[in-house]
Amino acid sequence: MSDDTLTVEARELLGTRNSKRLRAQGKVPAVLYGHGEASVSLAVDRKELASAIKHNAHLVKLTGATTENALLKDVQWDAFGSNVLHVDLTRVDANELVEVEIRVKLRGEAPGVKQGGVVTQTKRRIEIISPAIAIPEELELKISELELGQSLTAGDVSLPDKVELKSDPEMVLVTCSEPSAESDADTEATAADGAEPEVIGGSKDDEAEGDS
Amino acid sequence: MAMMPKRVKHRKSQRGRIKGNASRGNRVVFGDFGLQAMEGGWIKAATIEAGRIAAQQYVRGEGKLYVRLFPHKSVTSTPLETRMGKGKGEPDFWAAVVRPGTVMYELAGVTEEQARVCFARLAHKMPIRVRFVHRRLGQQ
Repeated sequence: MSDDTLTVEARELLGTRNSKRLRAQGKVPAVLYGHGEASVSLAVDRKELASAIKHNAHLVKLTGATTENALLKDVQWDAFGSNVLHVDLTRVDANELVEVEIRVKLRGEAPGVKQGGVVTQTKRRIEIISPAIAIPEELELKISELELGQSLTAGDVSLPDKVELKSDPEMVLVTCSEPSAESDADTEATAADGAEPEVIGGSKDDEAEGDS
Repeated sequence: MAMMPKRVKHRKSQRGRIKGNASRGNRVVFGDFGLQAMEGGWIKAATIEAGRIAAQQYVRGEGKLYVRLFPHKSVTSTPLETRMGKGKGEPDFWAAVVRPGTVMYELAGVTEEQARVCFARLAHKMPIRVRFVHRRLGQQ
């Protein structure tokens, strides 16, 4: 669990133009909603927010325009994934049970790798139900007994107290398999030079006639 | 051999225009690291393949390379010394339309240093500016 604090300011000027100006000042527009109360438009300091996002914070303490706990519900990024454009925050009580997605980190070294296998993490996040105050930053999955040809599922992740798994326990998270023997000419849709794909709904002659 | 579609609705396509940034396919999804386009452009099927080979030779047997591009667009050309007119030329090559922000290749199962070296080799093959990216913060 992290104890991140976000200093928030009330945001009265809404809309695209004002949001752009806000971002130019090093702030990020945000909205706070939930618990049947009215939604509030806020502005968050970009550095504080980046720090919270960087270590996968879920529960944050808001200070400034409002003083309460909130859950980082959604983060909008720009097209390049460089800057945060907007944040959704939901009101939450410290002991309330919430559903969140948590990152699963692999620990240890799989013996299957020594046998020539490759460890592939097919899912990186699993859903859990946890008290808001006790949301873990990340979960660990030990792969020190993962042999070649075996896989580990969501049910194998060790969960802290009071935390329940919401995802399917049979969901495969990591596998150790033999590396696929990729050749230089293995791609499915390949063709020799000069070859043309089949045209749907018409013979080549029709198509050629239409072009001329 | 270069990629191309198996079946198409039309043999020839209009040129089109690359407007705006990529709003999808702009994050690292399968691997740990990615190569992101910083400019828009058409990437030829042969170029995609050249990049794949350059990267594959480096990561062979270790990591996994994901190619996130596919050349869906046929590009036509008229032969040299042809007089004007006589209609649109014949398909010459296939290309993937890339918008700024598109993640073109991804790598999994290698260290960051290895991924950087690998993508540096791959970037030399690309006709557009590219950059190395991680998984997006909060989605690692």
